Amino acid sequence: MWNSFPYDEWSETVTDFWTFGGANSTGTYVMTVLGCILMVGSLIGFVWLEKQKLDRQAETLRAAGAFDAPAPLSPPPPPAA
Amino acid sequence: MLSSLFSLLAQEAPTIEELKKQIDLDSLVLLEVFYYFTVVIMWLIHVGFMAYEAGVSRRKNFMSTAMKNILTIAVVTPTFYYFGWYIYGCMEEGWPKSGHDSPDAVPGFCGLTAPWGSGMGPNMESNLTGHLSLVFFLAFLLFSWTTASIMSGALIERVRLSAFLLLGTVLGSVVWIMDAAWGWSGGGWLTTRYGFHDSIASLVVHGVAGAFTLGVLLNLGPRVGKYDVLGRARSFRPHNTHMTLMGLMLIFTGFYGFYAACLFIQSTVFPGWVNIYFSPTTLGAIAMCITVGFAGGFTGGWFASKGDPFWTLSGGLAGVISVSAGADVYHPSLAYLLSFSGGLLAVWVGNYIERSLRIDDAVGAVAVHGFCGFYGVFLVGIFAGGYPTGINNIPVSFGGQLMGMLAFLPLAFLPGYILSWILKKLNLLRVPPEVELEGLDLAEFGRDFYPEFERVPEVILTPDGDEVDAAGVLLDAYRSTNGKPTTRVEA
Repeated sequence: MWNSFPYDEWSETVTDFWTFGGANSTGTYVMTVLGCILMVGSLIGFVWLEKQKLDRQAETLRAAGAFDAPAPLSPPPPPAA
Repeated sequence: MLSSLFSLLAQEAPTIEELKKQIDLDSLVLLEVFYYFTVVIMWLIHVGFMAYEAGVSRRKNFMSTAMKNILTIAVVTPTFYYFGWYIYGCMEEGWPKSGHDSPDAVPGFCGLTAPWGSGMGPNMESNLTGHLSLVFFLAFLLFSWTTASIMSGALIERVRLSAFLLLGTVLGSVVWIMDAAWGWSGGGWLTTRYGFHDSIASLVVHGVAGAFTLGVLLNLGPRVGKYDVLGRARSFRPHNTHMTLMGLMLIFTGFYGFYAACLFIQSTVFPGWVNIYFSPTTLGAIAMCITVGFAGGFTGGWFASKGDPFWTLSGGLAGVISVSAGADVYHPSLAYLLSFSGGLLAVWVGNYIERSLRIDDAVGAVAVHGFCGFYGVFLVGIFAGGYPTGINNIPVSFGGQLMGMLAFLPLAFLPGYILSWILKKLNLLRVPPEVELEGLDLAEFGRDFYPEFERVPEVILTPDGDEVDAAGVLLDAYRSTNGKPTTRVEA
């Protein structure tokens, strides 16, 4: 059954392309380019995602006034006459 | 089973050619297995760096500190694969190419280092391309992780994870491997012209990583609250000193793999062990040197710091780094004396950097790795002058060692300074001060990683030695920055 699957016709060609059958083949160049795209994309992704997280958290903390200086104490009201 | 035995006995005696072929194969398999296991042992260096730095950090920054070390592997591995290894293989003559011939370069090595080349895949046709070049690659990759990990500890608790990863990529996949091509290879221009000798990578790994780190620290600035208004240093309390000490011991264990990976043996080509320049040495010599180096370094660190546990262990590291450059040739007694001096100096330089230069290096990386890395190469110029380096036996000289130092200082410092300056201008270098005060773990991961332990107030050690509640000190420092990321010393 498995041998009748149409994939069998292409399998050798596909394997030649994607596995390390031979160096300096089209497949190795294509894989290198795809890997480089993932490498660069992940570096950009690390920067972008972290920036979102940090900016959001900093904004939340600022809005909550978490680290603001306490308001100066108002002078006590004068004693009633 | 009996029939198998009879069939073996029935075989004709092998010919001399067959035996020679078998010995060649055994020799290559031995080398491949040897490098494979150095890589396994060197993983402990990264386990150690992670534990060491995470222990030094405050509780609120624990996981973000550890994550830096883990993700170093995620970014330095592909970048080193796609271009770092190619730099090592193809830029021994300099960059841009100097036109200087490298007669000692391994023929064809450059072509094996391209990511699409035959040296980077499971190629069964050739032992060199299919077996050895891959384990060499892995050993060098582990060195690359180490350079990034050296920097990582110095920047903790205020650097953005992504900024660290970008910096680590440049350090691990460009800077250090460029200097390795120049001065840590048989055909490097520093080796073939000047006899530059740094056999176990005092400068090419440690010194360069330290100089790069110094450039970054100048732009990154100190942690909020590190210095008071008079510029005197406060000390943050590590949240887990046990973890830090265990981490350092793991680094030391991994160093034995690091040292071994700096040597090469193939009995059918060389008569015995050779160093990275193909000059003869022995595995025993470097194992002796590293062990004695730890002993001298611990002793120096203990005396210089008056028994401080952190600096005693860091002194051990400093001691080993100080003798690594000449570990293939030093007498153990010389290594003991020199590593003692390295342990002493690392503590003094570390304190000078923190207190006088007011640079907040959280783990003393610039002193331990940077200073002692340069110091180690300097010592070789004094104590091993005339020793023949490389295949063409260029003698080691003080001038040659100095040339290496002068080449590597700007090669390391400038990229670190310039890249961190650019990141700073883009506001991508440092976390917002509010996040720094609250702790990076809550911003990055949304939780505290010790949920079963009660939170106790954070304390800080004042310059006068008093332990006080950190909240007031940190809030005052934050308010003095007006809520802006800062590199001001008094912040």
